[in-house]
Amino acid sequence: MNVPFRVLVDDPAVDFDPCELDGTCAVALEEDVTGWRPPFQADDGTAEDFRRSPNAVSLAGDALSVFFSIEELPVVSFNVVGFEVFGMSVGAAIGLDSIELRTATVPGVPNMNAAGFIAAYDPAAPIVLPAVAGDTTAPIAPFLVTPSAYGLAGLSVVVRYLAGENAANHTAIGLDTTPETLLLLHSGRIPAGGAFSYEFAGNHMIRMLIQECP
Amino acid sequence: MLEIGRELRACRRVAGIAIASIGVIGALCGSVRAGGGLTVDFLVHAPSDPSTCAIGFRPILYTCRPNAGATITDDNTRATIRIMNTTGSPVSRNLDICVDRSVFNPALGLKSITPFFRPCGGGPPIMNPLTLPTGATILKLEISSASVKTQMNNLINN
Repeated sequence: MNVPFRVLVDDPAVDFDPCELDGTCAVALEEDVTGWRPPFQADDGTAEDFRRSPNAVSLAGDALSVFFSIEELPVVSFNVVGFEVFGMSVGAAIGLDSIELRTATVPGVPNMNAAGFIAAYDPAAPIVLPAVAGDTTAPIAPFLVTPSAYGLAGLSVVVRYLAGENAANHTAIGLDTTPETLLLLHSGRIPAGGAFSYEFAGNHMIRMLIQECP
Repeated sequence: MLEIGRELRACRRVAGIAIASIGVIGALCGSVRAGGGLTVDFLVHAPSDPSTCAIGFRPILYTCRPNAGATITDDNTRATIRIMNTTGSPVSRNLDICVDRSVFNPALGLKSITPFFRPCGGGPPIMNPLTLPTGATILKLEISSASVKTQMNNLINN
């Protein structure tokens, strides 16, 4: 949402409307617009659908991703302090393997090479989402990101699956399909050993938690 | 003279939005400024550095941002205003900051939110009228009130 602001320097003798110039001499008006945005997420907080691993029976390394473009990131250094995933376990889901922060050399596409890895939430045990759809927070040690670190494109958060999940037992990640909030080319699917493909139906509900440096 | 602000806006687009470019603006709008004797430049922005009032030109404010402490972070809304008085003597003027609420609700219009703005780092709100000395007056203001930011957050997320 882009919000217009206006500043007025007006003659107090004739200033009846604070938001309009009433004076006629040595008065001034200037406007500016600033954007108000929800937190770093490509979704509106409501899941209309869900997605599971790209392979029908998941393979280790199957992944879903969300991209955060440079325009959405602070221009100053900041800390990535964790991730958040909206989703649920269906049946006897095995759970997620890890959640990774990666660079994105091409808008929307995470760099899955070793050089693209930045940080990860990678506990020894699987990351099992709740049975009822909700947010799961995955904190990491604050990782300082400087604007030059992510080049011209941005950052990606990648959720990796463990092997063996299927239609009856799987980890479902929320998908926001509301057209008004859709950020096309932000979400993608990466089958293990396969090629990246964009998710055109909606945005995966995978978020990055940040704090600006004091 | 009502056209001063409009002329400035047009010139500002030419000169860019850098506050520091007031000299350029003055040159572009020389005839206008000479006629009015008062110019203003205005930037609403997010805090680039929460510990200072430095201008970072980050135009986007983030609301309802969860963080590692399971709390909520809402950016402060900051406004940097530069008023140049070239009338040759101090002038008394009202300063108002208004927001166009039509983006939230088409039935609403401009509303003054001047009292919400306080000096960066704390202090009393603007008390009109202000006495503007000759030369430049630079105001660095921000909205840091939790209740106001909560309203802003509700507007964005509902």
